[in-house]
Amino acid sequence: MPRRRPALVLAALVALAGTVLAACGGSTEGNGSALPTIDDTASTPSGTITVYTGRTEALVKPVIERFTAATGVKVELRTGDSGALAAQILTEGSASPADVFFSQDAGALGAVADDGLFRTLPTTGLLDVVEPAYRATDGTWVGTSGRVRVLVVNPTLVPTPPRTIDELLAPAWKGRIGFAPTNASWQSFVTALRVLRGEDGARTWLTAFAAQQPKAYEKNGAVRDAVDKGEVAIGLVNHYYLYEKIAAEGAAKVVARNAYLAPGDPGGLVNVAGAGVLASSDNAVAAQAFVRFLLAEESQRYFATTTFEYPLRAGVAPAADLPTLASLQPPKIDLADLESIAATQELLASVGLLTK
Amino acid sequence: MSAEATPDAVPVLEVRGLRKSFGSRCVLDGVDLVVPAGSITAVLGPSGCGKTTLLRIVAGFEQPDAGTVAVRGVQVAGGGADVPPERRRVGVVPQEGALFPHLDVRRNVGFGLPRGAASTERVRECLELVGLADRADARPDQLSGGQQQRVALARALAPNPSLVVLDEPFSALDTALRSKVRDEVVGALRAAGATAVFVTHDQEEALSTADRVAVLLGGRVAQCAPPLELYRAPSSVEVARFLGEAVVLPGALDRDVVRCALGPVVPAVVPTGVGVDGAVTVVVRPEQIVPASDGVGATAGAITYFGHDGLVRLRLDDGTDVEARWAPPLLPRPGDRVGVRVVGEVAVYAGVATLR
Amino acid sequence: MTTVVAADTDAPGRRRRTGLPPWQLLGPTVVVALVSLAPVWYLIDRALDRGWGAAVDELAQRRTLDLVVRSTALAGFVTVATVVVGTAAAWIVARSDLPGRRVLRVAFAMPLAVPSYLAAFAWVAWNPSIAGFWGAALVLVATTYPYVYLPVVAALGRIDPAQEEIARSLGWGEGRIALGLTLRQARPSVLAGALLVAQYAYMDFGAVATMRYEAFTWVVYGAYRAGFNPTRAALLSVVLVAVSVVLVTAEGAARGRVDAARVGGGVARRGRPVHLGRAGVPAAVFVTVVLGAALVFPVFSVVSWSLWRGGAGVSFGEVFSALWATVGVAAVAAVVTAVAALPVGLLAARFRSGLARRLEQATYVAHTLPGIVLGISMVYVGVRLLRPVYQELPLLALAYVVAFLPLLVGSVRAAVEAVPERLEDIARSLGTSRSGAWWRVTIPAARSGIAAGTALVFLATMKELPITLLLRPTGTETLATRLWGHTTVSDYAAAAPFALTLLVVAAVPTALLSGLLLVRGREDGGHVG
Repeated sequence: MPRRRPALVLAALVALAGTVLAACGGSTEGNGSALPTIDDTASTPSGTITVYTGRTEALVKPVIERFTAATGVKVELRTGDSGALAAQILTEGSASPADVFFSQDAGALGAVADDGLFRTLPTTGLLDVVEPAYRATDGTWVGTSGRVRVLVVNPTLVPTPPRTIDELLAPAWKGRIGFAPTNASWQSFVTALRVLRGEDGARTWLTAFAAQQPKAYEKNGAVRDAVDKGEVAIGLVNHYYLYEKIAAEGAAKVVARNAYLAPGDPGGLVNVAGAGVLASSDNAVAAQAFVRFLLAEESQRYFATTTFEYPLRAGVAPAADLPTLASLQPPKIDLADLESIAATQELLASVGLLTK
Repeated sequence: MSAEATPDAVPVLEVRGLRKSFGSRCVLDGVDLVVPAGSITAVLGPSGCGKTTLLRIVAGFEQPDAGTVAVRGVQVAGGGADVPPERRRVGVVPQEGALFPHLDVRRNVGFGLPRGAASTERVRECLELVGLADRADARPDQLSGGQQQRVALARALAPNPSLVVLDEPFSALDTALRSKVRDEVVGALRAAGATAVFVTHDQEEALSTADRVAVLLGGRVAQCAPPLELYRAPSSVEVARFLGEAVVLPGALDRDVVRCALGPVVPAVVPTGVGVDGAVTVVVRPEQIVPASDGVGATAGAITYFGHDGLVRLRLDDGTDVEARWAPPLLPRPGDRVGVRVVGEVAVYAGVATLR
Repeated sequence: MTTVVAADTDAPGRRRRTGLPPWQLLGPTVVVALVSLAPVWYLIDRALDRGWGAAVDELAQRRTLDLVVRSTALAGFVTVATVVVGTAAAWIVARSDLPGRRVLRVAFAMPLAVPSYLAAFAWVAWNPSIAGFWGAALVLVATTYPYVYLPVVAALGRIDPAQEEIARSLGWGEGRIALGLTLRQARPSVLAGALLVAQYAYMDFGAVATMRYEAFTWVVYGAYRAGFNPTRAALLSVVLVAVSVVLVTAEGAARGRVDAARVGGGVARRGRPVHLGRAGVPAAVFVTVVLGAALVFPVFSVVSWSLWRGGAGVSFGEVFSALWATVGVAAVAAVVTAVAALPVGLLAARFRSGLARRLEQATYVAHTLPGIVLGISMVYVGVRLLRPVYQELPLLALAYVVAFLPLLVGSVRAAVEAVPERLEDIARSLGTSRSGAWWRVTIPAARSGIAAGTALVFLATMKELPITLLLRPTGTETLATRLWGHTTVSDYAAAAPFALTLLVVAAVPTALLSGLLLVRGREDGGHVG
């Protein structure tokens, strides 16, 4: 019947298209770690590399410029959100145009490593300049700089800051704590909490924390400013926010201070920004050279002085009055375990700490 | 365009046995129509009787269910043929002009013509034909209804069509304007020597404009004849009723005279097939009933005044109600006694028809 | 000029086309429809990665239902509110005598130039406690009501004023006429706009994220960016596709019934504006509130950012190259989308068969998908099927087409529907083929409606963020991506020039849109004095 045929034709075309697309699917997982490591110091790097980075362009550009000046390798930079870029790489799979993934946090690196999309980095001069805690166990990625979770406190309001996250649950702090619920670092902390204390332990702490009626802010910077003004007494942020403010306004004008947590306390989590070389890279030599460059003393000092992050290269000291990582003794955790942020978000939502 | 209209030339349009139904509604039920070259034929019928459908089938926008259409001897529809409208050379002038709003008059008229100097000349020619050569650069929304109609005609004539069909071309115009535009359009058609078919529900229009009128009743052509013949000798009571006001009376045929309530009347054509009892039906036009002192007696009832004449309702002495049209000086007052008789020949049909 | 209530020679039922439309129309439409469905293929494929069992388990969770309810609540409220605001604004501009209507006509469309993420941020920065359902609703209503306003104001311009006059002679008051007659005639336009709003409310991320209202899209984004779980994201997106199908079918059904009573007959003369009298005060308040919240406040916020720290270090070069990229990409996207939308809109307008309707609806289905989902789908498809143009302009333009096609298809369909089929018949009688008639008559006659739709796509592309981030050529930055880059690190002073430029440049197509609608009323085919 002429009237029914069009629908059939359409259905057939639709099915055909679906099959074509499905056929082009197939696994996006790779086996990058099985690839032999290359020695990028043997040959001179050249050509172009594409770097996917979740770090801000303003921060990364000077490093790139110096790298290009030093090696002649041109860099095409693709900025984005670390998580979104990781999702993109995972979807691109082995056809990814990226050579280097320079992520803001370890979770994204872990996700890409899990899918076998990184190639193993050489140990000498690259992996071994960084402590094992701050790189992948299988050598697929390496941290380039670290950040510590701290309490930023207003000294006038808080003569003795709490030293553990459990102390934060004291009645004295009810309604006087600030945090940024959508911030990735806060969520990483909660993920670490889940790892260190188990799901139930984390839930217990979070429920108690929610009962403290903490004030929610859009971003860490807003939390820090609120503490400085005295709106709240304590804020949960990363260590460098205070130093940003001091650098912008001068130490005299800034009231707030960082309070570091006790050794081993989950609240003192150290997270890292890091990089890995994609197995799909067609210029792995130059890509590795770039990662090596990120770990060079010059770059490490740059990170230390520009953003007040912790340089991870052994032997490079952090900026001015920052306590060393060794002295802080952050909790021991495999950074790759920070991958499960989605589950963290579910947990936070169920406790009422994420959404309104 | 002038066709050498020799008497035995192939008719421009020949429709045979055309049938068309929409769903369960049978709109055309065996239409036969022949349109000779150079003539203007009116298809007259009540609203919704299928005349527009007939036009659309002739023009090629609808397919008939049965029957054939031939243009200039070439079969274009029915019997397996289905020539698309763009190849039929049938021009269309619809009810509301329907000029292309995005083109000026000149481009509207030249739409069906190829580019070139010959076309420019032809456009000018056609615009002159309709008397709008000076508005060639106007846009459709700057023209009046009558002007648009004339441009539409010029547009249809420009590519020298075999036939022009017009769909109630004047019904969208003011009454005052109507006859003027009608005259201009007909004048243009004749000057061009075009063959035209136009449909209308207005008897006056059909009878005054066309060379031949085809009355479409009940999905068929009841009669197709020149206007005078049609009016004087309608082929049936239905046609007679449709063509104008009619007074229908029973009568008795007595040799070559018919006796009826209005007295003896002379038939225009003596009907055949009259029964032994001589029963016939007589159709008299109101304007044929004139006052006569020695005529049949009647009492005047309500009088409707039209300006140029008046319609008088009369009750004859034997109880029959008739209507007469008299000039103003002759109009009685309601209740007056008058005598009436019939002048001229009347239409007479065998048998007894329903009177109302 | 008499108002003609002429016998309609296009009797209902006469125009029903049976059989297949011509291949010149059907072919391109099928291709476009299939391309539009590409993300859906990817999603279904991905969602079933781990088998049906896992998929059902994932979806059958209580939480999924919760999220659907939350998103539906938001979408429902926003749709109703935008219909109210949009039609009220359209009525005020088209039918009332409020002073300043000419300015208002354009001003009411302006919130289209404000990206939702920008507006949301401005509100939350001013008062963080506004976050949550009401904040999200406020921002969504403020940024999407023009989708209802624009088609309704165009429809109102085409209504025959004789009907209102007759109603008044029958004793109807002005209010009753406005609600019971005028606006009811504009129902198809309202429905079309409401569909777009509903879809947008489901798929928007910027506003709900900033307002921290837990909606479906948030979880989808989370699944990609925090869970690195594309399968879960795909599953959730399939739910959104199902929602989309429901929405589109509902709109089609509602529109289908109204079609027969279409606004018809076109008149050159305008009706007398309705005198507001004392109702002028609430009308003025309404205007102030709407424009204040939707337009003045976000613009003012952005301006104040740039004054925050004195606009130090503004790189005009960067702003200019971002502007150039934005306009260039948007122009390409708009043109390609227009080309794609033409056959679909023509088919939908001229052929009422089930097939034509399905094809048109197919182009709408992907519209409910959040930007990141569309982006990731196109990454998937691009990397496998179109590798040479991956992260190049062609694929980016294709992604925009898939994302914004419904905006144009609706406009093309409405514009073509306003051109009487009679004109095409006449063109054919003059020797043009059927497709030739569409090309030479219908499309030119419908050009202002088509142009309005193109401007809308241009605008939407300029503001777009997630797809652009994923698919832009490496090294190319648009105003939106620059803006995003700076706001993620709270560098508002640096973000301000990009935000301001975006707003200013976006105002151009927006003004064009409403201007085109002023012209539209006069140029409908065959409706002349």
